[in-house]
Amino acid sequence: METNKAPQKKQYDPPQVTAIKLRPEEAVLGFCKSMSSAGQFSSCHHTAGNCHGIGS
Amino acid sequence: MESVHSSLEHRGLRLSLPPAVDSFPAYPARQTFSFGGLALELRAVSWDDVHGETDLLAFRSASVANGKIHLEVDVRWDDQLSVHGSGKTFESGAIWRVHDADDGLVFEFTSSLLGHSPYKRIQACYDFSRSQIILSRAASQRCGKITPLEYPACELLITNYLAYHGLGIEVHGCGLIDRDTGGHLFLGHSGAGKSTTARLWEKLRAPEILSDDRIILRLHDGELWMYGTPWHGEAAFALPKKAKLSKIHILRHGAENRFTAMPQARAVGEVFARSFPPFHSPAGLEGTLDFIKRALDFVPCYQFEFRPDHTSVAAVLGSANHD
Repeated sequence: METNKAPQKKQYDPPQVTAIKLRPEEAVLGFCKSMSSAGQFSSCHHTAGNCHGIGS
Repeated sequence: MESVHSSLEHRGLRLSLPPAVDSFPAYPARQTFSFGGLALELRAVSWDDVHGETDLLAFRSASVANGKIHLEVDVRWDDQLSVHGSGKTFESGAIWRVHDADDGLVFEFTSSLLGHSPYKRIQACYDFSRSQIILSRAASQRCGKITPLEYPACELLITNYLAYHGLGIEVHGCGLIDRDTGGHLFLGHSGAGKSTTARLWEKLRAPEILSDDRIILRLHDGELWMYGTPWHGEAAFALPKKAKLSKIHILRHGAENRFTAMPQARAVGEVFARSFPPFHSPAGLEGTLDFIKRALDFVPCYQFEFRPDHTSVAAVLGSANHD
């Protein structure tokens, strides 16, 4: 009876493709949070581009 | 997207820069700011133009390390700005676009409140060490005060400089310094829990919160450092300080607190997706990816599924004590 087992081979993990979301409105400066839902400056009451409505 | 910088080099053209600063009109009003360890000097004829940046007050710098100014930014006014004629390289989809002006890049800013005429223009040399901001009097008369560095102008200058020189990145993140365990960074898109995290930590640990939305990352001597920025989120935390990091957390809401180590390739993608790369510049994109890869050679990255209560703070503190 054979008692010595051959060492197990390390399991092969095939390469995987993982999709990572890139949100344009968050990766590009200049959007404000209200703009994404209400259109450019339609709800932005700042003078021109000065919108601080970006946050988490 | 066209490679402005690369294509010019490929065609063997020498990159010409804007005139030396001394050839510009005299700018007696000057103010230096520090963002992510970079010194930006704003120069104008009127003191109003350099002192109007109220959101940036805490980031003013009285002295400059080594006397080096990284970004020289001159301000002037024109009665009206016309739309740049040609060479559009990138449309942000927001309020600005980039044109290739052969001797540099031109950023134009428009608002639907003001019609087609730009209210602001930035003319920058390719490496962003020198730029001019031109403001429209007509736009100011119609809409009120316009300041040179108001959002997103300052961030565009800083992120482009960092990317072009491969010096760092700006990320969507909450960064804080705990008195016992040091710097902690939590990256996340809007809604991921950055401001919630900032408020939880403030209540339970009273840390120094560098920002609840925008953090600048730099590498110094093989160590990853985070810098606070004035560009805060909902919780309005903004501190001009920095801290060393031993890891990066990617925030995600969860039923329980759980840390999952990320393979580096995945981590590079996740951090990139929470950064502000200069999409108009292949060289800048390459600099951004290269920086993230180098940063993740020094620190690990974890997905942090968290409960929005005190247990998440305890979990992070516990993991920090086991490092």
